[in-house]
Amino acid sequence: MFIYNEQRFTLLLKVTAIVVKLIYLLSILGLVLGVVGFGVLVWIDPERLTFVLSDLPIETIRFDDFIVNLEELFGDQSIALKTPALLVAVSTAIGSLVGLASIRQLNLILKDVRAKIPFSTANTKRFFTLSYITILSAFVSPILGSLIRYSLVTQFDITARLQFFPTLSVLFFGVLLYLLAHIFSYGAHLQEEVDGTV
Amino acid sequence: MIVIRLDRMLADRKMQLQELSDLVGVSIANLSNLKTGKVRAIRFSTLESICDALNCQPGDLLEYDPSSSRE
Repeated sequence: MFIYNEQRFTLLLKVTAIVVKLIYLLSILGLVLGVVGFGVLVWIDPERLTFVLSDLPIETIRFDDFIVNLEELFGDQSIALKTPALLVAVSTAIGSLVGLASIRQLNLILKDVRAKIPFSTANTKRFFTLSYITILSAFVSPILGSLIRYSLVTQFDITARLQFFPTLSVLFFGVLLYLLAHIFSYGAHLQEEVDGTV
Repeated sequence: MIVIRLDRMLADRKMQLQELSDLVGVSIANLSNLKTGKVRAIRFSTLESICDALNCQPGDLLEYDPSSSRE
């Protein structure tokens, strides 16, 4: 049986606050890198970001589960990295924005929990927002990843199709948050009943 | 809806809200909310204390008004 331990809960809140701050800083860094990177890449001549594979100081690369010998497979074909790099910058910026939006919600939830008013209508809304963001990320993130891979692969004589499948672990987490939001909604209703009882 | 007749009972007993608050151990703010019908529920223990302090029955404090309904 679960027994509420206030000391342990306070410690957990402190650790969570530190982790949230770290993620916040990483998201800010990601957003700056994404936006600045995009701004810089747009002005770079595509030729400067085109490389002959056999000239690269590496012989093999790992692509998904395959180890590809560059010279054996592609000879002296070249690879243009401008479009994939732009896509990476856009993906980083979008991911960071999503991270910042999530952290804002999480911070407000933590603030209410610290104030000992966790079961509020505002917190319920925040959990719903978090769940929608997470569920959307489960679909958008693979699409962006797929676009980046597609922009790389189609430069060679490889038949490729745009394929994307939602990230199941993220989707599952989003659904869990959605269920948690419903639990909080019921908790907020019970809290209102208790607060209105003399 | 159920209407609380606490103000009437207090007037009959010539008692102030502060005095009742001291007797039943419920804050003035909560008793004031009860008096103005702003509460959602009342505990049996609170009702018992108020009845004891005012020397009355629950029926003297609570009244059912079929013409009005709670929001």
